[in-house]
Amino acid sequence: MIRASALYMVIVIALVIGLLCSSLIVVAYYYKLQDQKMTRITQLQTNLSSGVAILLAGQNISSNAEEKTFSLFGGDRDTVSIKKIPWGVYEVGAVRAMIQKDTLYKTFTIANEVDSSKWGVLYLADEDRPVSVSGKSVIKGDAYLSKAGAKAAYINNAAYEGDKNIVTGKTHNSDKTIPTLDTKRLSQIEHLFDQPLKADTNLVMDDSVKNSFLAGTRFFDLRRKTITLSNIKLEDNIIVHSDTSIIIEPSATLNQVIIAAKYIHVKAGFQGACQLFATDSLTIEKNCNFLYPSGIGLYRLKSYSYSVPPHIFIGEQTQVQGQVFGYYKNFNAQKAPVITLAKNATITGQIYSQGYVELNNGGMVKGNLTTKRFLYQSGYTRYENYIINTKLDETQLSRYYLTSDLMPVASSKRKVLQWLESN
Amino acid sequence: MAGVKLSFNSRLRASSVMEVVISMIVILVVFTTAMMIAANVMRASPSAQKLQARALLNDLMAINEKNEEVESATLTLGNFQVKQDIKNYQNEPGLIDIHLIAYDSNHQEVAELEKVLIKR
Repeated sequence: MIRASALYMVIVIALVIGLLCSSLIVVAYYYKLQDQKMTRITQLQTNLSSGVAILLAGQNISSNAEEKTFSLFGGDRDTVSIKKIPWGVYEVGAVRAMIQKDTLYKTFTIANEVDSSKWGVLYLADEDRPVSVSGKSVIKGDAYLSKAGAKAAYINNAAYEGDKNIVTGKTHNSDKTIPTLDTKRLSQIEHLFDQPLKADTNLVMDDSVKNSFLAGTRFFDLRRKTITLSNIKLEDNIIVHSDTSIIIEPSATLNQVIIAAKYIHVKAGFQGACQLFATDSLTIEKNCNFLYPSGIGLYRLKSYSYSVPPHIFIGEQTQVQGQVFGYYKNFNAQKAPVITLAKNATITGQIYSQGYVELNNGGMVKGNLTTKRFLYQSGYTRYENYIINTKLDETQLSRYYLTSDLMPVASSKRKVLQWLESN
Repeated sequence: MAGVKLSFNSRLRASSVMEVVISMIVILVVFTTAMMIAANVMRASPSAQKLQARALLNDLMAINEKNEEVESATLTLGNFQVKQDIKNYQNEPGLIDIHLIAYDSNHQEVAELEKVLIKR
C-alpha cells in the first residue's frame, strides 16, 4: 500500500522553492554589489577628471608640492586630493579621488600649449646685422630677424644651395634683446641647487629606486662627492644633487628624474627621459638619446672672476627631445652661455640661449631656436651670425608638441603632456 | 515515490484532512515568501531605465566636453527629461561646473552626474 504523504511532498517542494529563492537572493546581492562598485568607480573616474581639470586650469592651486584635500561639490562622495609639484622645466600633477575605501589616482606631467602668435622657427636678436646662410642650410617657418634679414653667403668654398627665399615663412623684426625666460620657473629651478632639509647622502649603485609622485620627493644630496651613475635605475620623483660633478654612464636608466650639479657629463650611448641642470657646464657625448619630455638646462647662478662662459655641448648624432636652455642670472656679455650642437646633433623641441648657439654641419633643430647670436668655428676662424649646413625646421615638430612655461613662446593654456601613474 | 513500482491494483491511502490543511498552509507560506523575495530582488536591482539614464548622462557630458559653448537648459532625450545646470566653479575663471539630472516620465530623478570641466 502506498502512502499519499501530502505533507512530505510539500516539504520537499518547499525546500526546492527555498533553495531557488536563496540563490535568487545571492545572485541579486552580488549583482547589486557589482553595480554599486561600478557606480563608485564611475563616480571616482568623474571626480578624478574634475581634479585633473582643476589642476590644469585652476588659478588658486599653487605649485608648491603641498597636497590639498577637499570636497568637489560639497557632498560626501566627491572628495579629491590634488597637488602640483614643480618638476624642472615642467610641472607634475597628482590627483586622488576617494569614496569610502576606494581610491583612484593619476599622476601626470603638465606642460603648456605653444602661443602661435609668438612662435617661429628662429628668434635672433637684432644686432643691426643680417644672418648669413651658407651651404645646404634650411630655415623653414616664420623667423624673427634683425631688419637686415637673412642673406646668402659664400664661406669655406661653399655657396648657399637652399631655397631662394632663404626663410620659407614670414619674416618678422626681432628686438634688440631676446624674449626673457619665466622668472618664477627659473627660481623653482634655482631651488634644485639648494641643500634640502631631508636628504639621503648616499646613493647605492647596482640598485633600483622608484618613488611615486604621490609621495614626497626623494632627494639624494651627494654634497661634495663626485659620483658616476652606472648600473642604476632611478624613476619618477627623485632628485640627485651634487655640489661638484655627476657623470652618467649609458648603463644608467633615468626616467623622469632630475639631476642637478655644477658639472654634468653624459657618456656616449646614454638613453633616457630626464632633466639635467648644471651651473657651470654640461657635456653630452655622441649617440645619446634624450626622449620626450627631457630638459637640458645650464643655469649659472653666481659670477666668478676666473670662470669661463657656461657651456652646453651636445655631441655628434645625439638627439634631444624637449627643451635646451642656457641662462646666466647676472648676464655678462663676455661670459654669455654657449650651446654647441656637434655634427648631426638633432634637437626636437626648443633651444634658448641667452648668449650664443654654435651650430655645426648637419645639426638640426626641429622646432624653435631663440638666441642672441650664432657662432661658427672653422679651424682658427670664428664666424658670428652664420648658419652653415644646418637645418632649422618647425614643420617637423609634432602639432601636439607642448612646451614649458619657462619658454617665452608658452601660452597660458596647460595640458597633460604625459600620464605617469594610474590605477 | 521514486523506485516504487506503481501498481493500479494496490490501494492508495489518502492523506488525512489535517495533513492536507497543514500542507496547504506550508505551501501558501512558501509561495508567498518566494513571491515577496522575487519582488524585492526585482525592485532593488538597478533597473534598465536607470542604466539607460546613466549612459545618457555620460554621453551628454562627453558632448559637453567637446563643445566650445555650453549653457544651462532642460532637454528631452528619449523617455527622459535632462536638466543641465552650468555655473562657474568656485570663482575660477577657467573652470565650469556641469550638473546633469535625468528625470523619468513621472518626474522622478533616475540619474545624476556632476563634473568640473575646463572652459574652452
